Amino acid sequence: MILGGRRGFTLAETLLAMVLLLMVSGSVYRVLLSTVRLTRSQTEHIALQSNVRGAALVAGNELRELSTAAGGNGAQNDLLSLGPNAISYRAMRGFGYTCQTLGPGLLRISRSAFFAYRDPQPGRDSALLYVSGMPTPADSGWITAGIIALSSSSTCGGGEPAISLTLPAGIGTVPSGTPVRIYEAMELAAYQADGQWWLGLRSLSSGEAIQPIFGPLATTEGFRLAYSDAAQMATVVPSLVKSISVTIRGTGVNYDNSSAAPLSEVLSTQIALKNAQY
Amino acid sequence: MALALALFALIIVGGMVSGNFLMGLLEQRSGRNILLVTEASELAQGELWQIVSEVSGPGLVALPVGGAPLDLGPGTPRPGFWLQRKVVRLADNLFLIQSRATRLDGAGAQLATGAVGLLTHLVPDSASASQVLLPIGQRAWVQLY
Repeated sequence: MILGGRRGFTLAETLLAMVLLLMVSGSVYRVLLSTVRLTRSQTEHIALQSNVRGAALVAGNELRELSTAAGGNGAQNDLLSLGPNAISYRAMRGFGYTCQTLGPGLLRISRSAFFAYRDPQPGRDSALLYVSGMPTPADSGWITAGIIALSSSSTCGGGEPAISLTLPAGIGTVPSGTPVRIYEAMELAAYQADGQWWLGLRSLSSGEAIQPIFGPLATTEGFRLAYSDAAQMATVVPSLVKSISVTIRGTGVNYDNSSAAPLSEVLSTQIALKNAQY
Repeated sequence: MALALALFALIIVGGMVSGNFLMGLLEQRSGRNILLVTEASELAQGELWQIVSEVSGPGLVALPVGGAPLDLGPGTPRPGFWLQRKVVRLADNLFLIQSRATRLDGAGAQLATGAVGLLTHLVPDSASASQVLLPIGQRAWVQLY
């Protein structure tokens, strides 16, 4: 149609353009929506995988250094109680050796010979001391003692920075060169809060409330522990445990409409106890 | 109009794909860091037993009690790693072996470190009539930081 010397659009052309525009817009919108869903789903999946892996690392680091000994005494066994979704144990928090012989119950450890990610805390941490046996090395062993006080401003012989620990005087004089381990009683467990399951960690020594380290867990079998003895047979006796199998099953929101099931990620790891006695 | 809309949508989709790519990259880096730490820790762990097998009893007895650690050098060179191996005599018959492995990048910068220790003592070996180094009976393995 020509109107006043200018050419316009016919109704048919306008309708066709609008239909085409709608079709293109609809396609673009659908692509956009699916991309948004995919992005959210992948982000959720990545976060879930990363968290499950982090939780497995924490569990491994907490449990790897534990000691067990069949028929051993309390000081030799670090596993305090076992359960299918909870475990309490002596968690190692540091290691060092004394640099001076002081009075009964007094220890001094050079900073350069102390390996820990934090300083000991009186009341919360305890110490394990290696006492060389007499007359034979077979009589050697570790004894436990609570830490009463700590001073982080002392020095060893040559003015080297050191930390001083005060233990009960009843343990006697501790000779120079005595290995000292710092530990605290911990619990690693699945627990329920706000209607969801979480993997948590708490210090039994300090009596603190459980803190989440990973979650939410799957409602069933979210955190499973299985204990094996030297023959790789299942056991529930703490002193017989040589390895612990940890299974963590995390869950998340599934933004992908292709499946109605919630997002799930499972990681199993076998932790061999480095200080288990065979 | 349709072209403008399509371009706008393409920009949005492109941004999302880039964001996704970045998330994937971060995840890949996180996984790689864990792998590097594991490599370093495993090498340090393996080196402990290497030291136990190669250090001689008479050499250890010559160490002063409570003295400075004996530096055993880097051991067998391994590309991409730097090793520190030490033995310190804590008491008359008590030794702490320390092994620290550091993962390096191509330029020699530190990527990850693993350090472990082993409390050992000398025991008579009936086969060789000499003394051999063995881990103590309880809690010999030590995680160092």
